[in-house]
Amino acid sequence: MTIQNRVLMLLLSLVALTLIVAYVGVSNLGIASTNATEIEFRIVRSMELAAKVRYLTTLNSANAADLIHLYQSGRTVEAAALETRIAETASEIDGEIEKLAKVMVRPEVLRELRSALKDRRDLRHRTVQKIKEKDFAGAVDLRVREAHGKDAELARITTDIVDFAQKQLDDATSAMTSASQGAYQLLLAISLLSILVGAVGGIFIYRQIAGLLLSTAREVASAVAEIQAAAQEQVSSTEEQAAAINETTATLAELRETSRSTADRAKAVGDAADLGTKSTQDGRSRTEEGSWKVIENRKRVERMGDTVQDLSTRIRKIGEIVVIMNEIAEQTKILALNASIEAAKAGEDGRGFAVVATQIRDLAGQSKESAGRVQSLISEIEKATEASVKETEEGGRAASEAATAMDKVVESFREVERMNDEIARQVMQVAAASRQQEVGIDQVSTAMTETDAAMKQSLSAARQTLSAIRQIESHVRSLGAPLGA
Amino acid sequence: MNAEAGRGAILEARAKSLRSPRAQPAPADEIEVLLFRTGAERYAIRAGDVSGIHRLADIAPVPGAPRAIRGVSLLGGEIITILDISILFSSQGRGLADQRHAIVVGRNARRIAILAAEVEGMCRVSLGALRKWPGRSGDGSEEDEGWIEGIMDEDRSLLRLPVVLKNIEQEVRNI
Repeated sequence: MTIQNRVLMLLLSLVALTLIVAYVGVSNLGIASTNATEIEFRIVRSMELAAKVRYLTTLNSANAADLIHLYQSGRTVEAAALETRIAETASEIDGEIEKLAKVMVRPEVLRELRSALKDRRDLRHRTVQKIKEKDFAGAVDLRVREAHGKDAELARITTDIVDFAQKQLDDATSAMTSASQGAYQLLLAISLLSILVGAVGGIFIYRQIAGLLLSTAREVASAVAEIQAAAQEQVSSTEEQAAAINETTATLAELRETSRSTADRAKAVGDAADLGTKSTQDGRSRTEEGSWKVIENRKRVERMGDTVQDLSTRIRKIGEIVVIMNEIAEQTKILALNASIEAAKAGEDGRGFAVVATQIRDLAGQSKESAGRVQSLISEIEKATEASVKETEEGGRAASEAATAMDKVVESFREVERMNDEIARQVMQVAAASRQQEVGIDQVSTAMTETDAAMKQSLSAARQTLSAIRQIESHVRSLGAPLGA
Repeated sequence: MNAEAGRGAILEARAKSLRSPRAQPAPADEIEVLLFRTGAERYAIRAGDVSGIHRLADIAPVPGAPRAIRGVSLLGGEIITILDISILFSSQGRGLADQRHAIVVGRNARRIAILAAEVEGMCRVSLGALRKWPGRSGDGSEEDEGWIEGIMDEDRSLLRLPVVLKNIEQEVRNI
């Protein structure tokens, strides 16, 4: 144990002793005060009882006067009742005197009072006796003696009692005052001593506690600084988190809008794909119809080609016939020439035959010329027919190619239709996924909003914590400053 | 009645238009010739020299014959020598594709057929109206073989057929 601790223990012992002495003094003072209060109570009580005895005595004295008057008036009944009340009052006076005897501290006064009361009661009996004997003059005389003698004596005694009680009360009060002043002075002295001891001890303890507090304050200040830094970091981190949450919330909102827009666009694309599918189906139907028409046209062209081919065959036969006719015309011409030659050889006799031969030759020439024109026309017709056949064949091939192309187009339409269906299915899946994503984003956004609110509360709490820490820091500094920190 | 009369008038007019020309007596210096064409060259021969006109069928070439003799062919049941007179008047002969006629000339064993692309007909020509042949060079500088009797209208050559045939016979003999 160090010296400082020993001194501290000694001071504490002195303080304890001082407190014990003060306690004893105060306890005695309380006992004295209690006793004084008891005495004061008895005095006051005796004064009250004395006053009541005096009052009852005066009342009976008056009743006695009335009793005389009643008996003198012949009102006996009322006189008897009044006499009864007088007796009762007398009993009550005796009871009060007994009470007074219990609180009375002077027995001789009490005996004197009882004696006076007995004399007065005897006198009243004799007065009543005189009244009953119709000796009203004697009754009045007794009454006068009672009034001027016994009543005055009784009044004096009771007055003495009251005065004595008053005097005792004053004495008790004075004694209590003196005792109180002494106790007060004692307590004052003890208090001063306690204050002195407490001051010395307080200074010592103050120095001990101040050192401890200074060290603690420094540690607390360091800890507070660390806590403040941590709180500051927490505030910064919370603010950054709040900003990040705000950005995340905004991003989620944009993402939600994007998802919604994606879903809407996917729906629009799906609708467009459906329309495309319908258009493709319509186009396929029309193309199939067109393909059937192309096939019909190809058949017609083939039939027309067959017709043209048949026509060409017939024309070729006509040409062969024309060739034969031409040959016949040529032969006829040759025959006519030979006839002309023979006619020329015949001389004048064959001249007429020569004319006929010439006409035959001319006819043969005309026939040949006509056959040549017919042949030329047939050639032109054949050329035209060949061209028609070629065109028909080309048309047939074109129709076949068109039908093939139409079949390919129909197949392409079916492929496009399948692709449109696939696109529509994929787009619907995208739309559904976007809706689910939007719902998820809404949930995440709601969670982020709640997190943002919680973060704001956390930020507010962190700021309050920081403010509180700063206040603690200020308090710690203000605490440490007087201690030399 | 009127319709019947009208129909009769129409038939009479048609008959007049179609009626045969009346034969006219021939002038003394006129001869009747046969007109034919070989390629672009036009010729004429006296009708009296002509035995007949035939469509030309196949020609069988004769080895060692003169160039103008294309061969022999069966004409009217007889084998007759085929002569291409275009070769006589030019160094280069023509193809046989367009030579569709054969004009048989001469008599008896001296008959020969002349190739012709086309037999154009017959006409009468005045010998006095013939122009003199200018020769192959066109200026008369060469020796005249006497094959051409004269030049008719349209620059048609009137062949002197006996001279031509004699010349051919001479060439055949020289082989």
